[in-house]
Amino acid sequence: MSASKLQKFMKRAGGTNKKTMASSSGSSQAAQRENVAFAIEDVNLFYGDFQALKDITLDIPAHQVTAFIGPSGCGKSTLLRCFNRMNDLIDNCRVEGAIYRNGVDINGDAVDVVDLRTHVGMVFQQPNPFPKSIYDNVSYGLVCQGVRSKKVLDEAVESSLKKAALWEEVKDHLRRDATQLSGGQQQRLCIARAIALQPDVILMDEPTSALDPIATARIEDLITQLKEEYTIVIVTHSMSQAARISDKTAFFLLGDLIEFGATDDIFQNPRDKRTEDYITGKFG
Amino acid sequence: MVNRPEFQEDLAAIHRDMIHLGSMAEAAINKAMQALRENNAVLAHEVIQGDDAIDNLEREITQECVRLIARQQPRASDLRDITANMKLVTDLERIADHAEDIAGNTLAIIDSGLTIEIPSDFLMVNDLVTHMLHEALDAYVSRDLSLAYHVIRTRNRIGFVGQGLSKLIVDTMLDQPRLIPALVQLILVANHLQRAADHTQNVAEWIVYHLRGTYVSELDELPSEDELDRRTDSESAPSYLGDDSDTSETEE
Repeated sequence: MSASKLQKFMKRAGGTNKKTMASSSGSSQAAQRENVAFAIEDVNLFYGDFQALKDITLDIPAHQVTAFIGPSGCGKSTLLRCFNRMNDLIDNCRVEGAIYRNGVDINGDAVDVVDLRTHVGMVFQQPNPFPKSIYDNVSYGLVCQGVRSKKVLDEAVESSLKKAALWEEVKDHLRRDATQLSGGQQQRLCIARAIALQPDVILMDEPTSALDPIATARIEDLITQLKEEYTIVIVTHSMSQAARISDKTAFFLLGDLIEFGATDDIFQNPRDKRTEDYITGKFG
Repeated sequence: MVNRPEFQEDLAAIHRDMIHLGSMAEAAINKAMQALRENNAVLAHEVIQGDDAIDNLEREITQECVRLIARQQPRASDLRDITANMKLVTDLERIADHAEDIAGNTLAIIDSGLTIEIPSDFLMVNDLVTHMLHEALDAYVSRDLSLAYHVIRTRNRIGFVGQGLSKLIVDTMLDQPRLIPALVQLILVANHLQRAADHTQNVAEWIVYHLRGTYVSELDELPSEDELDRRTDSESAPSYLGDDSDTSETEE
């Protein structure tokens, strides 16, 4: 897909969100608090008649790792996709409530979705490098934005690959086909690709479920480092992973947010019996 | 590249706190026995007042161990490391409790207004216990399997001396009944010293558990010195303070 085609696709996917019924009336006080990346207020989400999220209200802290856990179908990935309006791509999806970022409801009509997705990057379950060189993968977003300066692109590629802890492994092979990298390297490349656009937030949807334990450990170490500069929200099926790397954990069940708090508390002394039962393996 | 650097740093922080706790317990025993020898109520009160800080550190270390188990799911030697520390921390805190009790016994002797001579065998037991504790802490710091086994062997010597000590005090009671209120306290101190030695042995046994993954149950199961030399060559582990740390400061 060429850069121009990608831009058209992104605009089509993220144009005026007619499916959204969210308020765009402005900011809330909660949304403007410092150290809050997203303030989620009374969010309900429907796929047609099916309600996938029910009255979700929580603050995602900035520069921390927040993990969403819960059994399949609990709504954790659905909520994650709300943060960069990926649900706009689903025809019968309808969102109510508000998600404030920097005091502005991201579901508002005035929000530029392409700009939103520039600042809210995403990494998926399966590493999805473009069938291009390593260099082209990392620089792709900037090229789409119209950056042409080789010096700027070179610096962005090097800086992003360093932050993604991949530079030392690929610096002599930047023109190599990215699809030839190992699975773990491909996932770190995807993280570098997101970082190149200088986002504030990186969303990760089960980023290590397709990786072996060693590659998983490297990604987890990387996440721990990245939180100094970025807000990380991660959906994971692995409770042990959530325990290892997150600062805050949210437990979802059947579209409800059951419990949200410090990961230390959730994994040592959860308040809700359903959380206790889930993290101790009694169901799920 | 070392994976899970945050976990390794958290583990190292537990080790540092444990070493601090061990030094506090050792200092408490030494100060309590100094108070007894010198009939010094001020020192005895210092030991009693210092116990709260030791109790607090014990709780902090235990809580941190629980947190690491919950969050990092340690395995193999990492799991044994944290498990051993959770047991060790209790033994060290109990040693400090015995120091506090000895300080209480000392104050009771002072309050009785009686003057008693501390038998030389008593001071020998004191020296053995404090030396044993010091070596156990050295074994912890340097992960020294051979030294840990040495501490376990030393415990038997204290048992034999302790039995003689009780008989000595009872004989003194029969000779000088008016000193009984003070001598009873001395018997209690002897008991506290022996219990401190038991906990010190436990410390050494948990070090063995961490390093080898086996429990020490009977003294006759201890490996020979030759066997130990061979094992320590192959099982050498870096110091808790790091490979380049100089542990000579903790040696007598």
